[in-house]
Order: sequence, then structure tokens, then C-alpha cells
Amino acid sequence: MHGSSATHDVTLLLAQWAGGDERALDALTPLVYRELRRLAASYLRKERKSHTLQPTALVHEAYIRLVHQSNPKWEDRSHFFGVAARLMRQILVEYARRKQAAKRAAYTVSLEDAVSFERSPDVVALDQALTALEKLDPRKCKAIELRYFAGLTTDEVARVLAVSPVTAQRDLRMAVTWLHREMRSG
Amino acid sequence: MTPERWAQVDELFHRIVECDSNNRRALLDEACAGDLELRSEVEELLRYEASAHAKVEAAVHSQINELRFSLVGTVVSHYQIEAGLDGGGMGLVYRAEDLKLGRRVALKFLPEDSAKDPTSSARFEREARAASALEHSNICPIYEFGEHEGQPFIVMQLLEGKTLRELLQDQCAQATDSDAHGARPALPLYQIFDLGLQIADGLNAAHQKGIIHRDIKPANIFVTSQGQAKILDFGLAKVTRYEADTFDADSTVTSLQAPASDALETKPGLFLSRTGVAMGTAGYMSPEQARGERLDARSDVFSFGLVLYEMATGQRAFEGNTGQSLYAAILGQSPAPVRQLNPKLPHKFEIIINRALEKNRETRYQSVAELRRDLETVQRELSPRNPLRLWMAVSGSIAALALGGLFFWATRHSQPNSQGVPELKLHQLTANSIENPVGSGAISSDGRYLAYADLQGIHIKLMDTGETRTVSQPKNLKNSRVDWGVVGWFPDSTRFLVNLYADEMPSSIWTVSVMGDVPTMLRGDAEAWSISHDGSLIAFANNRGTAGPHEIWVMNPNGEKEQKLLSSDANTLIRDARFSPDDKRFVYVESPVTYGTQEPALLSRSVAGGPSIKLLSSQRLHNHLWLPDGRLLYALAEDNERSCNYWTVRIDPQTGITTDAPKRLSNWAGFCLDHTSVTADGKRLVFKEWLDKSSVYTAILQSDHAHITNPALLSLSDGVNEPSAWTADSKAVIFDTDREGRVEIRKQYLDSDTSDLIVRANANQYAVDPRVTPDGKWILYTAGSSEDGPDAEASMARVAINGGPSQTLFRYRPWGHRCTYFPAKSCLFCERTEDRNQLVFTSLDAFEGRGQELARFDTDPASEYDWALSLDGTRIVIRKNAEPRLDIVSLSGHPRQQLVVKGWTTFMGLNWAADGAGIFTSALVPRGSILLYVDLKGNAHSLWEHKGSTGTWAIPAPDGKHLALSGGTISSNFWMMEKF
Repeated sequence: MHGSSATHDVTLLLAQWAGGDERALDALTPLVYRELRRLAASYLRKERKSHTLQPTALVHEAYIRLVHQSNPKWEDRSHFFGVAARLMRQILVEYARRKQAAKRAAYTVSLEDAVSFERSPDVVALDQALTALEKLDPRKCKAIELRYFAGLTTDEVARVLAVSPVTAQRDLRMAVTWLHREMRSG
Repeated sequence: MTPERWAQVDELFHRIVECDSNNRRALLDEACAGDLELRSEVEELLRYEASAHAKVEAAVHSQINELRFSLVGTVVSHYQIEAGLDGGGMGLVYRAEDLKLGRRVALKFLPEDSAKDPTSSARFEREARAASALEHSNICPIYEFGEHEGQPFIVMQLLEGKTLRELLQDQCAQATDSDAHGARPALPLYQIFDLGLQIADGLNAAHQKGIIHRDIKPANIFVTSQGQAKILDFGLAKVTRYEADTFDADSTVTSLQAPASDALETKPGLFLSRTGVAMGTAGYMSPEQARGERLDARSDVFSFGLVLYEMATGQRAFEGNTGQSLYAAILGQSPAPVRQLNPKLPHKFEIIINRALEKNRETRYQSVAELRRDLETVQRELSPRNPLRLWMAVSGSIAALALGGLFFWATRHSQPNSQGVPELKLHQLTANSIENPVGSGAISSDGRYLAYADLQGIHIKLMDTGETRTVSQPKNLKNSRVDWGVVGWFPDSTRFLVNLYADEMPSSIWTVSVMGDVPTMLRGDAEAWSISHDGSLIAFANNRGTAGPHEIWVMNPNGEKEQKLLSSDANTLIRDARFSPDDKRFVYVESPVTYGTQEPALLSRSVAGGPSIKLLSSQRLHNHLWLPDGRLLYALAEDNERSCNYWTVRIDPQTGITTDAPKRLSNWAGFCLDHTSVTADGKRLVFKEWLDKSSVYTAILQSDHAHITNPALLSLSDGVNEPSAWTADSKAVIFDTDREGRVEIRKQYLDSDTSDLIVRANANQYAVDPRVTPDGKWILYTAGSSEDGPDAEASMARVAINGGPSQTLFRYRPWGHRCTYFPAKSCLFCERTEDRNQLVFTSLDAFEGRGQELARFDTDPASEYDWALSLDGTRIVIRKNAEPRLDIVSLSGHPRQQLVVKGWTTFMGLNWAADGAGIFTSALVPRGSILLYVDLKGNAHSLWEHKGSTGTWAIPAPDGKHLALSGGTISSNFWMMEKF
């Protein structure tokens, strides 16, 4: 799909989705996913000012590229973030799984790998814990995705979820604590 | 969990978290009211609450970093990518090993877009090659250009330190509210001049060759840990394309101006027209650059002026929220005078800056050399009798050389203005010779004293004055040979703990007062490891295990109230317990009784009990310490144990588990670390650096076999050099050596200063024990993996005497191999049976490989054995451990013989004399080792005393006259590190 028509699609789909058309989300997801994937890959090679790949930057940039709007209204973006946060999670987990598989197969180990650390909870474990959390409390799961995978602030999370900042803060606190415990015991 | 229960937990969790911590228990009691499940659920969550955010964030971020540094673990061209570097302002940079040259390098990938444009690719190549020819100590050398999957990269020197940009940011971060007028902090004056002059030197050298940088900015200037400024990315700026990026406003913006052209492109054919091409980083652009005009060296002068401005004031001269406002400022505004922002600056410095920042390049400094001259004049006027560069005094240059070019800053008190000194400031504390290496030591909690022990006893050094006192020995020990091991200081810095090791006596724990009184014994039959930070507990081992400690104990500082914290099973040793900053936990090492069966591991555990948590495991783990700031510091060996470096990892004080990925703290090579201690404020760390080295000597054996003459050093490299054979003409020695972390087999003629490479092992492989076949044409050697344990299989390999490709003959469990000298024509090798009950000797041929079994010798499985083949091939001499008894096994049917070496007790090295009438071995003595010639009746003649030696042996040449000698030494001294 060519750039301009993708832009058109995304803008339109976002509007439809915001208007209550759930099917729009199905159409939107692969577009955003592809863009995030592409960006994540290109981040590997690009010189960046921050030099730490932040999910925030990635998601914002994906938005700008897809919607071609560098200064969008917040309401427009919040829908987008809802999709992007979930996709970021998916991308990172896929990547981690692939990497783990590759590592098992590889003969060469890097200096760091040669020291086997007791594995601190990784993104795969986090993903599993999140899946469990989603069953218990979908909103809290969404809050975590937005906060950690899309890099939103607590206030931004509140706006996307349409709850008060205090509620968002509580959701996050409970959820992150529960996840940590879940990862440790799981 | 039911939704109702979840809601209950959720609700109660928040009530507890949000209430005053004193009321939590009461609230829990009340709210749960006998619902134990609810209570335990909430209580458990509460335990995880504090660290949860960091943990989850770390999980996401570590994955993102892995994604970013996707090449780690792969080989790009001939570079093994080891790790991603967080090179602030340096782009995507990896640390890698050059597999051809065996050195560490930095691999920097260039922005994607520059590769896509063929014209820019060609230019990139042309310019970068020209720039890479620049050789100057203030320019980071570029070794090579490469391309990986269409992505250009450069290979450059691996530097340790920070970019100037990071340095300036740190300065900002360190700033306190007390700064006058809220001004941003500048670098210290001496550093402005020191770095400024160095940058000018580098720039000037490039300009002399007609190369312009075009993108001088703090992120492109690296300041090494040794304080050397290195300009990065010469020749790269022009092809670097910067994209518009809203989130990148302070760094780069796209030029909307006309296509750039510049001085190097005056030939019409070379003019490359591009649209929308970026120019230098916007904030550091010259006006002509902002206008898209042709650039010359004077544009670099302007950008350099801006860098000086920022170093001197802590602020950028031009700032703008948008590209347009920035351009407007660069083109039309005068920046605030530097002295207005930093009144400490000399008036003349302001004049220099103003002249460098002239908008019109005709009125600007016309060259960096001119600017440099003025800068130097001002610097000299500032301190006429005391040139500022002297603060960077290098003392003890020999020690510095031994550390592979690592040099260190003058101490704090000699330089009052030292706040901007780069990281890992090192300072040598002891200067013991190799004849008296330092054994152990520790810095006091207040940082005022270093207690250390060497062969002469215990010493206390006053850090301020360097004055050293030696502690008196207890009277009853005056005549015995004892070794003291300094454990650590009590928190009040008035006493420290030492272990006493003496022959024929179990170790014991003693205390020493800072006044230097005679040590007093605290507890017999024990060995202390550490003291808790509050001074209330001493962690120690009793001497119950035969192979090492199986128990961790604590007692109070008076040696009372002993309590066992932990014990291990019979196959596992536990040791080196060290306390967490709050003394609630400790870390310790667990290692297998039998080496190599399992990797040693670091574990943490609560003093109060509970499970042990494994933190990391590595065969290369050397030393560990829990720092006051909560980080765990440990040393890992690299390069076949030739180098050690510090790593840190953060530990959650409550759970005792790691909360982030380990970070490498140092990048040293050529020595190892041990005996690390730290002051209570965590600012100064002291460690023992040690370096073992062995050299090849040659000598002439006199015909009486009782003397040698002319011992002379043959090998010239540091590290390991161990002789094992001669060429058939007795003119050259074959030895194995360790160069830049690789094991090599080399040949060196007696009249030559250089050696020839015969075999070079791959990284983490070894190639040792080269023996020359009796016909003099081949070398047989053993090759294997350095990671393997001692009983692992390895390969017998063959290589021509002058080098060339190697052939593997067979795999075996190596226990050495030897060859006779012509006219005898045999070689044989030895294996140990798997049950370790026998040594099996089998004949060996350079082409046929494994031959027939020749002899067996029964062994004690718990002991190690040395052996040697007589050079006529008739007899094998065998020695158990380091014992004086020698067994001689005949290969021609004669009965076995035994002899006992008279007059000495501990031995190493075993070789037959060329004529078979005697044996060379060496006796280990307290101050070194002595090479002996032993006749077949056991009479020993001392041939050579090698002081400070860790052992020596002799390889006779076929001519019976020359000897190749091995001599190992250890040098070790204490160093202090700050800013880590």
C-alpha cells in the first residue's frame, strides 16, 4: 500500500473506530502493526538523539508517519495509542521469543551471555502475566500496556482509558505489583 | 480468583498502601477479620509493591535494548559483536572483537539513509578514507570501513570515557541549588583549557591536511578516562543526513536551505547537487553553514567556539525551539557574553570566544592554530609558574606501563579543582616489587588508612601523607613463616581484622589497632571473610572442610555469640560472605568441591534465614562486594584469565534479586583484580591489581652440571611465555605465549630480538605444550578450549616447524606429550584414565597419530602427577604432586627405580638432562624458586635462584649445552579508584 493511501486509511479507520465501529479496529491493526515493525527495525540502525529506544518515541513516530499529523489533538491520538500499545507488546514478545530460540541454537556467546544470570523477569514472562491479568481485570491490563509498552504518562493513561488520574494511578499500582508477584512466582 | 475476591484484594491493597505505614498492621487485622487468604494475598502483594515498577519497566526496556542492539552475538565481517555501547551521543555503537587482530574495537553504524544514495556512498567512502589517514592523538582513529547488509559502518578505536556532551550533562546533574544566580555549571577552568587545547590540536592537524570536520559539537568529542580529548567522526559529517524529528529538536534539524557545497568540491565534475541535505548539527552550525554556503576550516573554528562557549558557561550560545528560530539566532544574534554567565572566566577568554564566533568568517580567527595560540597564552597567564597540564601528572610511569598504558590522575589534594575529572580516576597506593608482592589489603571506612599485608608483614598507610607504619609481629610468631591476610576494617576505622596463615597451623582471626600495636587473636581455627557495615557481625568460616569451607558463621566483634548461618553439602563449598548495605542480607560464593563440575555462583540470602537467591554464575568470577549504594560489584576474568574487569548489577535490598542488567564498569586489560574494599561513603574503592607474567630465559649449562652461566631474557612480551622445546639445531626456542588474549606458539632464535609465529589459537582456545619431533621437522602441540575443565578432551595437533596450517591428529584427555632428541626417534603422550587410577603412556607419531601403549603407572586419584621422557626414549620419570620422591619407569624392560631429592621439600617442573644422567627440577622457596640439577642418587645442585618467582623449569637443548628456562613472577599492588 502506498504511503498516502495508508495515511488516508488510518485516519479514516481511527475516526470510524472512535465512532464505535469495532470492525475498523480489525482493519487498523495490521497497518499500525506493520508500521511499528518497520520503525522498530529501522531504529536498530538509526542514529538517534536519545540513543535509548523509547516506546514513547516509537509509538509517537508511528502515529505521525501513519496519520501525517505532527500535532494531533489528543482525542485522536488516544485511540491510536490503545492499538499501538498492544502491538508494541506483541512485537517485543515475538522478538524476545525469536531471540531466545536463536540463542539456544547459536554456538557463539557474547561476554555478557557467558555469565549466566538468574533470569530476571523478561518480557515473555511479563506477557504471560499480562494475559492472566487481562482475564481478571482487562482495564488494568490496558493501563499497563499503555504505561509500559506505549510509554504514556499516568495522566495520559487516564485520558486514553477515560478514567480519573487517581483511578489510573491506582490501576497501575495494583497491576504492576500483581504482575511482579506473578512473574516471580510463575 | 473470583472477580469478587479480586475486587476485595484490589480495594484493600490500596487502602493499605495509601495509609500511614504505622497503621498498616492494624488496618490489615481489621479489614481481613480472620480471612487469612485475603490477608496473605494482600501481604504478599505489599512485599512486591516497592520494586514492581522498576521490574516491569526493566523487562520492557531490556527487550527494547536487545532489539536495538540486534547484532550482539553475531559476527559482522571479521568482528565478533560483543555488546551494545550506550555511547551517549555516539549513535549505534557496538563493542566488538577484531577476530583477525585480536583486539577490541568499536563498531559504529552510520545512518541508514546515507547508504541508499549511491553518490553519497561514494563520497562517504572517499572522504572517510582521507580522514582515516589522520593520525593524531586527539582524533579517534578509524581502522576500517565496512558494510553489513547494505549498512555502512566504521571500525574505530574502542575508547573508555564519555562524550563531552555527557560530561556537560553530568556537570548539570551535579549542580546544586547553591550555585550563584542559578547559573548552569561550567567545567572547571583548568579543564576548559586542557580540553580546549587538545581539541584545537586535533582540529588543527586535520585542517593542515585539508580535512574539515563540519560537525564539531560536544557529542562528537570524546573524553577518555585518561582525560584525553578525541574528536570523533572526521570525514563523516557531510554524508550524515539528519531527518526532521520533532522529538529531536535540540540536536538536529533538516536544513531547508539550498544544497550544500563546500571547499572540497570546487571541481565541477565533483559537484554533487542534492536537495534537502542536512548540514552540521543545527545548534553548532556556523552562519555560512546555516545559509548553505561553501564551508571551510573557519566554519570549524566557529563550531569549536560554540563548544568552548558551552564548556565555559554550561549553556549553549544559540538555542531555539524550532529550526527557524535557531537559524535566526545563529545568523543574527550575539550570544550572551561568557563572563556574564561565568564571572570566573578571564577577560581575555571572552575576547577569544567573541573572535571565534564572529558571524563574518573574514573577521573570525582564520585558523584553529591562531585560536589555539591565544588560548594557550591565556592559560599560561592564569598560572605562570605552574602550567595547568601538570595537574595531570603521571607518577610511577613504570607501574603505568605495566598496566598497559593506563595512567592516572594526580590525587585530589594536589588539585583542588578536580570536580570535573573524568570517570574511573585511578591512583596507585603501593609500589611493591615483584620480589615482595602485596598479598591483601583494605581501605578504612573513613578512607584515611590502607591496611595491607605483604611478605614482610602488615602495614598501615596513611592515605593523606603516604606515611606507612609496619605492625609488630606477635612475639611467639617471630621465628615462624607466616602470612597475614587483611580482611577489612571495623566501621569506626580504628581497628581492622586479619587472618593468620602459618605452616602446620590452622588459620586464625586477629584484630589490629590502627595504632599499630601487636595483633591480638580473636578466634583460633577460623578464617574471617568480612565485617558487617554496622560492625556488629563478623562473617567467618571454621576450618572444618578438608577441601574448603562448608559453613558460613557469624560472631560479634568480641568473638562471641557464634551462630551458623548456612551450611552446604559435601560436594559444595561456600565462602566469601559479604553483607548488604543494611546488613540484612549477605552475598556469598558457592562452588563445587571438584573444579569444573559446576560454575561458581554468587547467591544472596537473608541473615535471618530463608531461601538463597542465585544472582549469577561464572567460571570467571573473581571478587565481589556489595557497594553502599546497593550495587553488587564483581570482577570477571577475560582473555584466558589475563584480564579482569569490574561489573556491577543492582540488587533489590529487600528481595536480594537483581533488578537490572549487569553493567561493565571498567575496560582494562593485562591484569586481574582482587581484594576489593570500599569506603563507607562509597566514593573510594581500593583493589589489588595483580599480573602474573612468565618469561623465557636462556643460559649455558657448564659441563659439571652444577652451574649455569649467562642467564639472559629471551622473550620480550608481557604475559605468559613458557618454553617447551628447542629446534633440532639448538638455535631456537619454541614457546607458547599469550598475546592480546590469544594463545600463540612462537619460535625465537637465540640471536634474535623477535619471534616467529607458528600457531595462533582462536579466541577462547589454547595451543600449548609444543614439542619438536626428533627429525626436527614438526611441532606436536595440544589444542583445546580454555573454557573446559582440566580433565576435558583436547586435540593433539601437528604443524610444520616453520608454521603453516595445523592438522588435528586425534582427541585425547591430555596429560602431556614428549619427544626424544635425534638419534632416538620416538614421541609419546600420556593420558589419565577416567577413574584417575592410572597414567597411560602411548607412542605418538606426527603422521600416524596414536600408536601402541607403552606403559602404565598406578596413581592416587586425588593427586596430580608430573612426568618427563628421557631424551633417548628409554625412561620416564614421574613425580606425585610437589613431592621429593621420583619414580623412574623403564621403557626397555628394566626394573623401576626410585629416588628422593635431598634437601628440599616442594617442587615443580621436571625434565631430563640431555645426557640422561640427571634431572632438572625446581624447588619452591618463600621468596622465589631455585632451579636444581638432581643426579640419579638424589643429590641436588642449585643452578639458579629466581627471586620472586612463582616457579621455574629448564628445557635442555639437543646440544646438551644450552638451557631454556622459564621464570614466572607476580607483581601486585593496591590501587584506588574514584568516580565509579
